[in-house]
Amino acid sequence: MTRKRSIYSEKAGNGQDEYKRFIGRKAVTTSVLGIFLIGLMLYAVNVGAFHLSVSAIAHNLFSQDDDNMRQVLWNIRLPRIVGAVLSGAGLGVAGVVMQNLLKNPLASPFTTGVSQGAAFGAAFAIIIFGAGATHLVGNERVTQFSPHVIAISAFAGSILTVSLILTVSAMRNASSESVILAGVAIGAFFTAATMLLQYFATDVQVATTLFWTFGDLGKAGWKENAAIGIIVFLSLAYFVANGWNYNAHLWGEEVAGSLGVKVRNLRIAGMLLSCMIVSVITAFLGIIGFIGLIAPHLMRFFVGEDYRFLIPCSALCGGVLLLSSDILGRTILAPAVIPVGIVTSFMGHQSFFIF
Amino acid sequence: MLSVDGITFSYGKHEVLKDITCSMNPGEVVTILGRNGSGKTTLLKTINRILKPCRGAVLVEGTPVMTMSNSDIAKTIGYVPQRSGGIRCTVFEAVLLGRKPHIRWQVSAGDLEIVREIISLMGLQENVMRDTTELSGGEFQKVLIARALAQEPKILLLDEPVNHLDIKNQIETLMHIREITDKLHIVSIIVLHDINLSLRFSDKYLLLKDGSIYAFGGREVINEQTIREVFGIDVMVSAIDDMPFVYPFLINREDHCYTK
Repeated sequence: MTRKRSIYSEKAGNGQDEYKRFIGRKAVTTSVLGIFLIGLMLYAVNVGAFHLSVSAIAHNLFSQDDDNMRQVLWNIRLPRIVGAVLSGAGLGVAGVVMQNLLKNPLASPFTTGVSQGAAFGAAFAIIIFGAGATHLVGNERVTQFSPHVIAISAFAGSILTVSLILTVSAMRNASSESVILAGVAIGAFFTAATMLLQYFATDVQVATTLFWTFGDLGKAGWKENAAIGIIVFLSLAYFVANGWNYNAHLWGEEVAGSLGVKVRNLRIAGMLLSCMIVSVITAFLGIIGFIGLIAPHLMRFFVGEDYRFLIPCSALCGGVLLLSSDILGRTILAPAVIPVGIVTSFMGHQSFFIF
Repeated sequence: MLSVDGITFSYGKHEVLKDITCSMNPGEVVTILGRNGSGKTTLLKTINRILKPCRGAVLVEGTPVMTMSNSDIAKTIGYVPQRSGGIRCTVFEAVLLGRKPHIRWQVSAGDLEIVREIISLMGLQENVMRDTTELSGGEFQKVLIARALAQEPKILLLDEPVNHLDIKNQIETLMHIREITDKLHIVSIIVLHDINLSLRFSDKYLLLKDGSIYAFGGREVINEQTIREVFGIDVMVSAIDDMPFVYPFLINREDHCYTK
């Protein structure tokens, strides 16, 4: 076996230059991914029924004209692209943090049942609270869509799931596999509970719930993106600031504690923020699977287990994956648009065979 | 340097440590000996506040550990837990992690210099860019000790550091611990099961029986009577080159041997 070159070469002073080169490779990976994501966003602006030149895009972005092109750009394409990047980043970062905190590479918003818990909460809000219901007022059909009620209810559902999972993981002799199995069981329970709600719901409520669970970036407007963006950016800032703590946690609670990490705080804050990200994204856009599982594993090939880089890279990779999935969903059967949740599930399935 | 003053710890109603009092000085290697479940690991964990005692106090240079911040404890006490698996990171990254209590945001030149010195001290220069999952048991144990040393601790706690190691690696690891204790003038507290190995490398011996100190002191506390009382087996203690050697008798066999 050939050994890699020591970072402390004979000419090395105190190893600082070598360390910079060592870290530099990870920084370059992060930068390249960021640049690729920006390129993909620019490409995505031009995907759709309207084909625009770069100059036309630039003109319509900043002009005050109220023409169709500008409407398409600002009200349809850009919110969708920004929603894909923010949600992908959120799911990627929630996945990587859950994998660390639950010490399980299979942990993700989807496999731990958090998405299904959020979906149940949303279905509960739609069917029991009447959020998203359609009423006839005179001859007018009025949709009483209350995204905030759905979001709060979805958040409550995901928190309930996480509480159950944390309870199982706190039990003595509970292995990481049993935590994931508990997540799968809880996910199945919430799926059944959602179906039970749908069984007793009206046709319109069932349709609303079903449509909601598809995971569709078409639902992303600027208000939704703002809510998702605030939570994703604040959480991301917290996670990046705790990169060293996550590195320590990887070696186990005792090692982390002996290195000065407040393990309990780290775990509770991490799980809560991850849940908040997932529940808000699920509440606004529906269930989007596999991004939270695949993005961290993909980035481990490039930056290893160094969470100072793995967290931002997983966020960027999540953005790239979700935006690519959406582009695929918009083009593969054009003019029909396949909801992105369906595309990511297909992609996730394929990626397991590739990796 | 380190004073343990009347520590009592319980898991629920089960008292695991009972009124433990002892003190240790810089440059000393202290071995904790006792049967499984006698409270050895629990004592280590109460010293660095992973577990909080019900009563009593641990003082480092007169300062109670309970009043110190997590970061200050991490700068004072290094801990090597019982063997854990490696993760996908290089030896360099694993040792650098030990600098965490000292790093605010950026890794400084001083941090790198200390990591470099410790890697050299532990003889890990050739493995510095290897993945920790690729290392042998002995090499991996050195990495764990190096990480704890990177914290620049005054006290080093090691929980069964030679478990799963072959005899050569056991001796090498304990020699390293002995050398760094002398060189860095720190206190090293080791949980060991092999009495003979501990006799080769330790200055003091703390014998735990059912959560209480049965004996604490130099080599004189390792004798036939204390071992019978603590471990419940008969032994013969003889001397080889003035070094005590503990020879255990086989239980319920008069010939003390499997084959003649």
